[in-house]
Amino acid sequence: MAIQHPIQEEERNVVARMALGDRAALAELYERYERPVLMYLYHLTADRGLAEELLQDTLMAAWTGASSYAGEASVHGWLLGIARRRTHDTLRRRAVRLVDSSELAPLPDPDPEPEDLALLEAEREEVAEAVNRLAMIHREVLILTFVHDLSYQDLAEVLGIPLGTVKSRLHQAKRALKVALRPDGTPS
Amino acid sequence: MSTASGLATHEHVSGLLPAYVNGTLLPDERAAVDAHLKDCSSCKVDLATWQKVQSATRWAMHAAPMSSRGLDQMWTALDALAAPMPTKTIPASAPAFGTGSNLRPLSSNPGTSRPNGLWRRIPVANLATAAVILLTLLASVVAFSGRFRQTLSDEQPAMLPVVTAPEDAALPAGVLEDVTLMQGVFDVIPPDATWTGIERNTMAPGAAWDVGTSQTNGEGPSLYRVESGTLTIQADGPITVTSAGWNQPATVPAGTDVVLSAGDQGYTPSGVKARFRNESDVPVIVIVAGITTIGWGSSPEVRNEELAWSLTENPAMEPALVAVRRVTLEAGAAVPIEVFPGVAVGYVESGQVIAANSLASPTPSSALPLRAPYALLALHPGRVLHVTGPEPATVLLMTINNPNPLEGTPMD
Repeated sequence: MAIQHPIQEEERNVVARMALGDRAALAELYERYERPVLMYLYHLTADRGLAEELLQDTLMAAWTGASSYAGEASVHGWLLGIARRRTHDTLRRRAVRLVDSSELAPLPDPDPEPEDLALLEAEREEVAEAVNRLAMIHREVLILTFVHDLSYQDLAEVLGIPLGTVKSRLHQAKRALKVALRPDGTPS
Repeated sequence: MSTASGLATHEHVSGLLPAYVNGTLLPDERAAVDAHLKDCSSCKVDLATWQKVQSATRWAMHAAPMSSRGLDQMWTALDALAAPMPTKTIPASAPAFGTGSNLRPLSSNPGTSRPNGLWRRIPVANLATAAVILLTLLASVVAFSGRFRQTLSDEQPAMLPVVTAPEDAALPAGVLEDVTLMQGVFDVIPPDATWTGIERNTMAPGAAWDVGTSQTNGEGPSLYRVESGTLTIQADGPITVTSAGWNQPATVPAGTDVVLSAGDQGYTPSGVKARFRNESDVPVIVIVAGITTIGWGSSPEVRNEELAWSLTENPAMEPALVAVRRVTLEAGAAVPIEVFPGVAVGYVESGQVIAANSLASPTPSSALPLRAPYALLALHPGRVLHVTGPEPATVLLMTINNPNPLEGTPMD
């Protein structure tokens, strides 16, 4: 059960106004979410031009679909969910798979303590480079959690997975990061 | 705290640590984590690693774009969404319904020298020749009726003659050439056809590829034109083909092979699956434009390049006059996209083009490097195509218009 924070409530009202055709509400939404949504799309596509086109697509879809917003996820999560679906459709159409099933195979869990220490002792820039080397499925969940600060409920909404899977995917991502930090980047 | 409950708490807390770090836990969950962390050194290490992951992830993402191009184009797109699609005009290169005066072959060679083939395998030039008498009559209907809808009876091809503007017709400022490569009327479009776009497919010798199914490039009507090579097609329903150099389309029955050469075109309506085959020793390049559902790509022997596309929640108008035009723009030109009514997507084949929001020359800092090849995905009204390179630019444009503008009916 999520708490209704005043800001979230205000944003839900913005979507309700959009559903009534209020363009000022769309401008408010854009003002608030332009950057995070664009950033997310850029991270998904690695193509600034495509990310900008998808941002427009996402906002258009939000405008036309505002009346169907159920309010279960935050507005932020709702928008990122739309953005992800549109990106997924586009990349799938282009025969680029957002998630490779081989990436979902369980990664070997390195010995927890030494690996955790290695992660702690590594320089931030070093870990950041390892983040960039991660498979999309792992990088994406880290970006949504630590750059977009999404709640588990919003992560489930955006990624289209159950709440329990959100937690396991985050832990898989951390494991993958530990592996990526190794000099040779191999799992064992 | 018992061992058993302590273990349960440990697992529970471990799962909550990422949300603890990003500040999205509810107050009571946060309090529970705080309490557990006091006594659990393992979770303290775990928390520190998550904090490191947070810091590194944010650092890794700091190079992301800060802002987009703004909402200007959104407003014009919303205007377009609210208003009926353009109905007043039709591109200069589309048929001039009611006059027929600018109907003429694309080239002077009608290709009548090809020998007749066996039935079940019809070179398209001969098919077109055989259809001349019937379709001359059809052209007369087009010419004298003044209403295109009358040409769309069950027996008549839905593909339109491909025409070019009369040589003395004035082209819009900045436009050096405007050639319609193919066009047709999509009279039925699946309700879940959200993909609109142009593809270039290169088929290896021996390759086969089903067009019009969800297993390949999606279900829905499509137009195609052979750029090079020889393409054999057999469909499970009637399709329409037009030979290069001819402006008369002809219908090919289901289960019949038809062979298309460079410049020949075809149209497969919704619900029909057409098997494309390359039975020659050299690759076939075919341009396909369609409004389809999302498909799963072509076979490994077919290189599928999406030149330009858009995704929409709403199906396109029905019926829709769909055309692909090759437009050459003058160096330094600034051409408003409204010059090409109904334009959906575009593709920069050569030269350098920027799709900006105004007639003013884009500044280098705001300009994206749209050197060819480049897809123009969101050609909303209000956009202006600027040719920024020293050479003319060639752009493929896919347009979607009302096939019956004279009736003035809304598009939706």
